[in-house]
Amino acid sequence: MIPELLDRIASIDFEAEVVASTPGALRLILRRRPEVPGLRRQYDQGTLSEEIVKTFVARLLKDDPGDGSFPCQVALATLAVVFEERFGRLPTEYLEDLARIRSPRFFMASGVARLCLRHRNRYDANYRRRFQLVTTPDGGGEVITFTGYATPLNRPHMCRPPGTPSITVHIRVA
Amino acid sequence: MFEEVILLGAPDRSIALETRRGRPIRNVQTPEPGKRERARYELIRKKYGSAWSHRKPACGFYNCFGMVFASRRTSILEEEMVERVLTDDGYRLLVGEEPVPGDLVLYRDGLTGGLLHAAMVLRCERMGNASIPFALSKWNDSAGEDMHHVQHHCWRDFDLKLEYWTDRPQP
Repeated sequence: MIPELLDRIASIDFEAEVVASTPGALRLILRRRPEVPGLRRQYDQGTLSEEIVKTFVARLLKDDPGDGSFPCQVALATLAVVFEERFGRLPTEYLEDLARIRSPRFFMASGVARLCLRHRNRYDANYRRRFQLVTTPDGGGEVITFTGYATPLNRPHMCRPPGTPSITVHIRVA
Repeated sequence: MFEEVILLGAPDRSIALETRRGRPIRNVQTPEPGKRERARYELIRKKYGSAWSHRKPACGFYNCFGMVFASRRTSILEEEMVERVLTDDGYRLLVGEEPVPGDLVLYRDGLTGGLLHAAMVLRCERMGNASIPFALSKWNDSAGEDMHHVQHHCWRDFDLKLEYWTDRPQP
């Protein structure tokens, strides 16, 4: 089942609240929206799974009437902003795939994904991520969750700087 | 996840565009709005535009920066390109000077300084000692054009900083 927040970001009402004429402006606006931390929390808790994200994206693509720009670019861009500060396989795959689209029909969503990757890579190059185990699996097929934080590479012994985002990684054990 | 779109995607359509100094301006001609985008524009007008005057219905090809810098022929999507035009085309920031019709108003995020929007000043109305500028905006690449008080925009909950720029020489 698609979580309510995903339906919300795909709604025309949400699109009318995040009016932007460039990918940079849209990213800026989306970063201030409460839906973004809400979806990040769901991803961290495992309720926004890979399967749900793929089903959601497939549904948006299937409903594309083919006229004008792709109608749900804001939803795709919102997920890109959600995944900008998450470093698992799904966020990386999502951002890289979306950023590879070279179609004027997707210019807004793919532009936001490219900006998210650029900011993420800047973060990646300058910080060391430290993780601690949060949940352990009871058996096969379970998800292990790590949460962590980043410290600047030039000061490796530094504690978690105040105000820095935490990073959560989910690993599914085969 | 987007394999089909990546494979079938057509390349961006752009036109030759340069600053006065001859530096290229990257741009994209965006598609004409579809049914949903037209409905979204109507919703935006309903939500924020009670005091706007409508100039032109929803249309594609250009965004706000394309409207003010590229004669409505294409969309300029990168902040870096906008800064390039401001520098190369001889625009200057108005400090302590009132804008006049033809000047530009840039909407920036008050926290990061990031560029959100550009509009063209159409007229200034006197209210006591103050001059209130009214501007022409295209809210996104698929919206129409609306004339509005510079403070009547789509980002009411956002901490915005308005800047006025002109190509007029220093007085």
